[in-house]
Amino acid sequence: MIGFDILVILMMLTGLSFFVATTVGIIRFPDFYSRVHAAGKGDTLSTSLFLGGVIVYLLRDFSGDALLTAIKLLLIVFYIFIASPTATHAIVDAGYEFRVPYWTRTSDRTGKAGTDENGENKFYPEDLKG
Amino acid sequence: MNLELFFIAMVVALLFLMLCNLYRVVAGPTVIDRMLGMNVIGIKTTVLIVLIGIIDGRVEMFIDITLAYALLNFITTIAAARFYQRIAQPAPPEPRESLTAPSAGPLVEEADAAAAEPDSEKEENK
Repeated sequence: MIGFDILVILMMLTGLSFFVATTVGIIRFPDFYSRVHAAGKGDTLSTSLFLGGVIVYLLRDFSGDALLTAIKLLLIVFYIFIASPTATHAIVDAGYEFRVPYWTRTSDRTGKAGTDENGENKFYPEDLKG
Repeated sequence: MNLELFFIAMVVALLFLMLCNLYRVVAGPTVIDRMLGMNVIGIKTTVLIVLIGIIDGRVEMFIDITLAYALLNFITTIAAARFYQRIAQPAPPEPRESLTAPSAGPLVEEADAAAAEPDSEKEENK
């Protein structure tokens, strides 16, 4: 029994560390594309780890109801494993079509990248700032 | 060993991370950044609902809510992404109205004209 508990704690702490990495990446990365990179990878794996920990927690005292709930949770894990990268791909596709500026050496740390030598934004449409 | 306190700690940690992600939603320089932040918050929310169900002791009910929330989050993200992608693209050309149904064959005059002047049609295709 205590082995299962330790497994649950380990999986959830690993998932939480991936969530922390995702959050730090989303806050600190300078660029939209690198933020998408941080969000798309970390969220999928950490959600799977969290829900896997819940599955182990439910199955440690075995019964029919617990098995049914665990199968539903497995379904959610499978769904998120497919849907989350798809959503991330749709977002980065929209950003690419939107011509979101990418980070260059001359840009500052606020994410407003792509300035030319006069300090004007080269491809930063005005209606995107809102 | 009772894991309830550990689950409550996990819920608090997830809420704190969601608050941190809310910074990107508020301060994101573009609309797409806000969409990304909301997608990440929604994925965290699915985990949060399952953990709240475990603490509450009724996981069977909360699982269905989680599934519905995950589906809605995915559909919302896809819809918003497609919407802004369509805004970014140039307007499509006006559709040309055809007199006959698309499944019908070419008109007799058109077929005759195409047979009579094959060269001009080739140039148009170029």
